[in-house]
Amino acid sequence: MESAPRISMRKNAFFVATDCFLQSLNSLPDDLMEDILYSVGAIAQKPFRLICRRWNAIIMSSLLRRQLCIGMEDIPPYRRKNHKGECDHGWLFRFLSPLITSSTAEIIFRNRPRSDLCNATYTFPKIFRPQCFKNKDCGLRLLLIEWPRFFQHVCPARGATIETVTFAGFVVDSLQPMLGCWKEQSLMPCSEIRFVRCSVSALLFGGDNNIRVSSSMPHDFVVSGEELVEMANDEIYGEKPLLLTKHFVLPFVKMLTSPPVDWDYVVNLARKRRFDTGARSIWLWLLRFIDLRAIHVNPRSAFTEESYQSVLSHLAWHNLPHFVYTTLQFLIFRRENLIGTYLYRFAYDLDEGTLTTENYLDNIEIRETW
Amino acid sequence: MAATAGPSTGSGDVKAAAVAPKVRLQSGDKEIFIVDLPVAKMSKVIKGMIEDLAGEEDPNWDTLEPIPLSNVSGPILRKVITWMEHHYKNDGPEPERPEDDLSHFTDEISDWDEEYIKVDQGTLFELILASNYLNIKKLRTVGCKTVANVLRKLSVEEIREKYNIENDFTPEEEEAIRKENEWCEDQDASK
Repeated sequence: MESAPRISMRKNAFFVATDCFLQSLNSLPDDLMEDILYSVGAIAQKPFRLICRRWNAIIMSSLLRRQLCIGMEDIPPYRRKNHKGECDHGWLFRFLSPLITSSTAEIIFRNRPRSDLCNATYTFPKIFRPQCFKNKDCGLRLLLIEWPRFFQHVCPARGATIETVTFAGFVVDSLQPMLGCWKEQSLMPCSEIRFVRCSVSALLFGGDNNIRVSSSMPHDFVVSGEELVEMANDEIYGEKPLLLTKHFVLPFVKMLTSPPVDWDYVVNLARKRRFDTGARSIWLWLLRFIDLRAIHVNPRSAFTEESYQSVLSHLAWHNLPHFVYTTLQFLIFRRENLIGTYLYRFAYDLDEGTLTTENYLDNIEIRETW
Repeated sequence: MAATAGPSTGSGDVKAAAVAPKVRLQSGDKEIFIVDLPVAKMSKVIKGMIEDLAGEEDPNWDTLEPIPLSNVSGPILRKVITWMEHHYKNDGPEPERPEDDLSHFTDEISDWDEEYIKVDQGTLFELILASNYLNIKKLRTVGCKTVANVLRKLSVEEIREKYNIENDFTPEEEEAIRKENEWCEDQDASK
């Protein structure tokens, strides 16, 4: 082997690239820190969440972003004012707008207190939101008629933490007419249900008072009314894989081609604990969504049904189809309650795995958790 | 400042060295390095700058202005060039990969890279920053993995001390994370 040459380093080399000493590993930018922590491995990096808030935030957002193949966009530092001395949020909405659907009722964002902003007034310009068009033939109603409301919360002055992890949800914009006659396909007035942007968003507060939004590329897809009926029947009467499968294959194949560096360790670790974690039931559930062929994409890895089954309960990415599935169940089995109401807000709790819905019927709020 | 020859351009493949056009790179502390064009192009940033400077026609490389790399010091740039020359000679140009391709994270660090990256902590960070600035993905990955390998061997407290990181969690937050991590902690203890 050719040996690497030894090169003497000048003592002041440390200064030049950054114009100052790196006082701490935390002086490295977020993307480098993320790569370093990702290289540690999906499991081995878990204890490092305890190092400090920034590491915790990076590990958690990295897991979501990388495993779901989600692109992150940087938002410029939160320190702009317009000529009147007001904080201008226009730039923020440019990044938020892809996340906003017609079912978005509320946008919460948080900022750190800064001396130059503490007395500033905040303005929230109107933002673009996709329209729900009323279809007279089908008797559709608008699911949401108001603009999203904005909330602002002040965060701790230092450190970094993930403040919000929310699934933006999807819009079922032609559901109601189908609900009335879904058992008779020939009478079904609408041909398809449009799911929009199953996306994940996270607000990350870095060391330099930056706000970052990680958002998914929109994965719009269509499920026909017929398919939905079939899915519901399968759910009730049989074990047939749901047709929704095909819509999730692509994102998951991408994930599978790049397993965590310590994947074997993950598998072994989880295998020992499979009976404690209810992984079997999660696997059976996930079978309905994911094409098993996907697990053979990477020939170097010994992906088997068993290994997948073992690890599912520990990986964050499974929350995405879970969310969709849970919501789908809600829509199918609570259809009677839906008629005459409009969906107001979905909230999916990652930790609890529960879906909370807020509906309104004659101005009375109906709040349910699934 | 007098031009400095690239660290290893004089040895080895004389024919290739005679044929390949050379570019001059200028470090932040004004040191000049003469590097083979294809080697320099392993950095996507330098590649972009060369294309901007050269324009559409084939330029006279001898009269072309040195490419300023103000964010990289001379010693670090010298070391980066050494890495680029070795890998160009042995691996050829780095293949284009999609942005979301993470497969390089599973690659092993080669023996040569392992030896190359045996430097003090400050230099290692500088190399990572330089590779990031110059957009040399493979070198960046080698640097990140090297730091990761060190981290793996340390406890949380040792990492805080070694890398000068302040614990800014409240006891309640710390406890909450410990609870979330419980399922993997007992496995760590049995390692």
